[in-house]
Amino acid sequence: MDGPKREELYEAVCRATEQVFATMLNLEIEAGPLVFEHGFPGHFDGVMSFVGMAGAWLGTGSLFCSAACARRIASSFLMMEFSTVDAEVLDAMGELTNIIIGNVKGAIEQSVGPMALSTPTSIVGRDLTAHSLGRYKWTVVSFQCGDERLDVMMHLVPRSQPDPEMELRRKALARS
Amino acid sequence: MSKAMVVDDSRTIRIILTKMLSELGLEVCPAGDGKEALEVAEREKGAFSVIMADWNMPEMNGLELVKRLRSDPRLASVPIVMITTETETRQVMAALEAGANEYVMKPFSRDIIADKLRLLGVIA
Repeated sequence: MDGPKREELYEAVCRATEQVFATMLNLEIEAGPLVFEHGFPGHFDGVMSFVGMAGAWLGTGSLFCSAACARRIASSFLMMEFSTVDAEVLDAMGELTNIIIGNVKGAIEQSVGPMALSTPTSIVGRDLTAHSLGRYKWTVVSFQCGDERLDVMMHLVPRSQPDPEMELRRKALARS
Repeated sequence: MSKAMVVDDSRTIRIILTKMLSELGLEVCPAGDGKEALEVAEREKGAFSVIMADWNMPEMNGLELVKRLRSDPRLASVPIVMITTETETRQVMAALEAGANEYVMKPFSRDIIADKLRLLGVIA
C-alpha cells in the first residue's frame, strides 16, 4: 500500500473537521492551506489532544488550540458554558479528536488498510513542550474558527518503515 | 415519561445524548459501559423505549452488549440503536444481525437522532 496522497489526506482532514463542526457544534470554520512541518509542533500554550492509530500503518492524530478556543468548542459541543478548561472541556476535546481522526481514518483506510484508534488523551498548560518519537513530516491543517485557530495534525508511516530514533536505540541496545 | 438508556464510555457523548433525548421528551438513564448497562437494565426492570449504545467500548463492545441485552426477555423487543464512527460499519452490520435495530454515525445532530427515533416509533 502506497498510503494516502498529501491532497487526499488534506481533503479527508478538511471534510471530517468541517462535518463535525457543522453537525455537532454549529460553528463555522474555514480551512487554511495544507502545511507540512518537520517534527512534532513542539512548544505551545493551550490545549492539545491526540489519538494513536495502529494497523499496517502507524500514526498519531492531534488537535491543538488555545484554552479560549477549547472552552468555546466545549461550550458548543456540550451546550453549557465553561469559564476554565476543566475535565469536561478536556473530555470534549478528546472526543472531538476521536470523531475527527476516526472519520479521517475511515476516509483513508482504502490507502492504508484498517487501523485501530487508541483512547484519546488531552492536556492543557502554558509554555509546554511536546515531543513525538515519530520524526516524520506532520500534515497540519489550520482552521479559522471565529477569531481563534484550531490546528488538526496527523502523521502516518507504514509499519515496516523504521523510526530513526528507535533504530538508533535498537543499535545501541545491540552494542551493549 | 418514556425512558431511554444511553450506553457510552465517553462522558461527552453521554452528556450530549442525554440533552438531545431529554429535549425529545425522554427520561435518560446513562451507563458508562456494558456492565453498568446490564445493571441499569436490571434496576429499571427493562422498562425502556429505546437503548442507544456505543459500538466501541472497553471490556464489553457493542456486539456483546446487544447479545446480552437481547437474551433478557424483558428487553427482547426494545429498539437498540448503535452509535459508531464511519469506519466501523462492518462491525455495525454484525451488531444489526445480532439484534440491533438501527445505527447512528458520529458526527450526529439532534435532527438525525430524532429521525432515527421516529423511524423506530419511539417518538411521534
